[in-house]
Amino acid sequence: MRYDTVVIGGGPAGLAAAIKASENGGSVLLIEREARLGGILKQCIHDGFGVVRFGEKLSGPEYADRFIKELRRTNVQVSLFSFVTDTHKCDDGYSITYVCRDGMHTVQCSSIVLATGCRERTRNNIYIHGDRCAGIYTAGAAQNLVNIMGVMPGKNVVILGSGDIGLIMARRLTLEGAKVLGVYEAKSSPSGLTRNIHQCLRDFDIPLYLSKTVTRVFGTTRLEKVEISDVDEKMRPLAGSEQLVDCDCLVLAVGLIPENEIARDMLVPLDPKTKGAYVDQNCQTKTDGVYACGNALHVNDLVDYVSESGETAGIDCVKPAHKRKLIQINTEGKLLYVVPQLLDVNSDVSRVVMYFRASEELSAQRLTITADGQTIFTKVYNKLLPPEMERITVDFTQAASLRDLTVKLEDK
Amino acid sequence: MSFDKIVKYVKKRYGVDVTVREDERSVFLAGECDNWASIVAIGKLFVTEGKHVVNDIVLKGHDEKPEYLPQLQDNALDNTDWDVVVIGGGISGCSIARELTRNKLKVLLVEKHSDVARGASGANNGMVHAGIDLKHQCLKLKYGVAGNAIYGEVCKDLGVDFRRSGQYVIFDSRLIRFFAKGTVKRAERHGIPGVRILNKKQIAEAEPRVESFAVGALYAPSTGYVSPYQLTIAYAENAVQNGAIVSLNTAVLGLDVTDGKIVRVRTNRGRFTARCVVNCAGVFADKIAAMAGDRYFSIHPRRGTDLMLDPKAEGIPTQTISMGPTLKSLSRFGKGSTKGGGVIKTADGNYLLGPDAVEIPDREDSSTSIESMNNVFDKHSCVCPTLKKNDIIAFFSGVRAPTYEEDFIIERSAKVVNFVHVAGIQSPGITAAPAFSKDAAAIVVDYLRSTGIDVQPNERFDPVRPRPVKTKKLTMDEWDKLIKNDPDFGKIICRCEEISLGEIKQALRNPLGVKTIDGVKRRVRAGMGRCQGGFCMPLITKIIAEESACEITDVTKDDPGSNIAVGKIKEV
Repeated sequence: MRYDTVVIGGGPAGLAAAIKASENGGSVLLIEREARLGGILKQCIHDGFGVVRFGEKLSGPEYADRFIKELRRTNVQVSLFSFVTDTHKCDDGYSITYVCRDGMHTVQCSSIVLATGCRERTRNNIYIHGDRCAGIYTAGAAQNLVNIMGVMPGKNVVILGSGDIGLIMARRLTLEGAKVLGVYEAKSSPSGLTRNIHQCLRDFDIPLYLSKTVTRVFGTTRLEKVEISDVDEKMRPLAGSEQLVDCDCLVLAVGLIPENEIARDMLVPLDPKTKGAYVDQNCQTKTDGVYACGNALHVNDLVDYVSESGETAGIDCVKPAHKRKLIQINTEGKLLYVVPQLLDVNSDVSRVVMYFRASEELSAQRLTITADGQTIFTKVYNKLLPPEMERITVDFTQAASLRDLTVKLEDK
Repeated sequence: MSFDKIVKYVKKRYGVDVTVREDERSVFLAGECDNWASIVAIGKLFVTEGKHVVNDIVLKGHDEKPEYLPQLQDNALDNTDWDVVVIGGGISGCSIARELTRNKLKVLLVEKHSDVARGASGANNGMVHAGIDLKHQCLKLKYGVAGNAIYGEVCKDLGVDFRRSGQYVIFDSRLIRFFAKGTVKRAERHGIPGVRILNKKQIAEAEPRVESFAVGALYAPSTGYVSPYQLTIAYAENAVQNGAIVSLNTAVLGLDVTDGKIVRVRTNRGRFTARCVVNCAGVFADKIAAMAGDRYFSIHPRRGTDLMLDPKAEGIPTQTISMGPTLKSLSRFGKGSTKGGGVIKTADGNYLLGPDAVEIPDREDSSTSIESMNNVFDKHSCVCPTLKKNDIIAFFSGVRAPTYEEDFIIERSAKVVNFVHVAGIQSPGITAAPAFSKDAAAIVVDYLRSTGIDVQPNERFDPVRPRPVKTKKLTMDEWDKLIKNDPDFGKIICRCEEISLGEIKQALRNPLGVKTIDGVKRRVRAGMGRCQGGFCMPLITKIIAEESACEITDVTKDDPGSNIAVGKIKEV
């Protein structure tokens, strides 16, 4: 079987990519591991999804449903319960092998869209030592237990990490009857969106403790207590500051990592800053015909942008292949990262969507984009927070020369 | 040195007043000290030829954590009668139970945890040692070499992966390389096959990632790798297949002795009789011995921590590499330890760094610590300086059960006639078990025969335990065929390790009846990958509930009480 494009992953990025690829005339296969489309949105029953795109606050399943309905109007072939086991280059494109409940299948395609999402960092990733008891879960696993399986991961809960998932779980567990003893954050400022600090913690009187982390866990069968330590500005625990907190559950919301196992197997170059692939403005990676979008590309804080990058990939992946000329986009100043990292000057450069994050909390900043010394874009920001991703649209056609591209962040 | 002199030395060196008492089997030490490492060091000073040390020096101000005991109370085993009762479901107990089933005997294995391989057997690096580090004749050497020789055959029978890919011990100086010649000679003398010295060029060919400081290496081709818990599980399952009963969540609470013979075993699941009792209790072996008034050795718990590395990290050696002794370590310790450790490629294809060895007062304290992690990393990463701490994806500790003599005890008690001790089993215990289990079983059978029991061979004994299906090892056609037969094998549950629903169900239908999250993890590796169960744990919880027809809230991670969930939503 041959398709123009195969989209791997049926979450928000993959759905958007598949829809756009099909609408633009491509034959598309969408491969999804689970029983249903929607990815992690299925378990995100809180609202706040779609404010940018639809101008309304939807729940995760509602947001996914809009795309699933749209997908049904296309000719996209969907293969559920399907898991990709091998991907490799072949004569005219790629060969993909996947396993599903009726056997092994191999298909060929001209392009691949990687929409594999991200995974959560674990207790081991942040070196929490101590006993190996039950009751220690990543926020996503805890969310699955509560929202999908209808069971409680604990009664007295400590949450480590003030990212959005941690904040949302603090509220969720409180609503379902647990006592959330506090949200602890190793950084000196919260990691989640400001609106979530208010709606999830303050409204429920859940304390937020900054510059503190969990350093040890104790428990024979289930968790009995955790050791909390103060940390210095480099987030190293301070000896002597330890205090014990009795609890039966520790929820870890300590960051997400783009899932790029398939990209890695295909030797697609990855950006150590985003942990996703290097891409051009069309979400095409350095490997011709391989696209990456959504949280597999970089961790987004709004699903609206996940869908947007999926659409970008979906539109481009069914266009006839052309010889790309990739120019690197350099960064300067306190920028955590900029996506895309590359500009293909042989395709449209008039409406390039760029996402960036500041590397620390900053005020009165000016973002400047230069091409060969010529300023082609500038914007002033009163405040920049690392948890809040910024999005800009840049017209590179104004540049006299598309050489030496730099994105620079500096004090206003 | 006479004991009097040692006592004086101890007083001077450690400030401890030791009282010494001797009988025909042991040297008993008493006293008080406020440092555990000193207590262990003092115990070692009293090791003498032909006697065991029982170290009762008390650690001042230390409350030993209460021993884990299952809360379960029933009469499942009450008033039953057994030919042999094996205490402990580690590699020793499970392998001995299996060897015993070669005979027509009623064999019961009791294990206090909810699965086998929960102690040291489940938390070590799985190296099947060649035995090049052992200098003198001892049981470790005897059974280590004999066990290594039959490993391939045993693992084939038991359906467990085993890879004999050798081990390289790197030297950083020519002088050490010169000393290594003695090790080669000794290995020949001990019957360890193929040990040789490689020069700089040869080692670079075998493992290009070894740093340039290597001037050569000692190569032991017979070193192999096994999953220690999967082997333990396989032994237990084969024992059950051949008629043994494995009773989990069953702790021995007492041994009733009359006229130098154990007449009754008391547990939380009832009292029963045994013609012969085998003590394979690991770190509790001396406590079990004491229950029968037969305490003639001491176990001093020693914790080892291993770090698991991201297999995709850059610059990981593809072979097992350890650092040989350096001039510095030789001058400090006076002897080199060429034993395992280093960067180890496991039977599952993962990489481990470690272990360390820390003497600890609590027998069940298998917690990990930042100190151990840092020590292990600093100690072993020198063989491959490109490794970074960020490459660590998991870590675990196991508590080994050494005696002060640092050798195995495999013998029938001189005092309690129907009591066989298999104690002090530490490294290379995993290596040695296939060999010593045969001898331990023979000790039991010989004893039973000596009491007039006619022990007949079990004609229906089948040494082969069916190898569990691993879809990852199948060709595409084989996998496709399997799915056509059972679609569950086409549904991937654990995405990191690529484990299918079929494999998980197969693991849940294990002969031991273990239905826990960690039980699945140990059997098929689901949840052991990069997300550490973040994605698959809720799914497996649901599968367990369905397979065991219980509520999701009843599913446990491991021992009873380790429930994944504490109740239904809005009901807690």
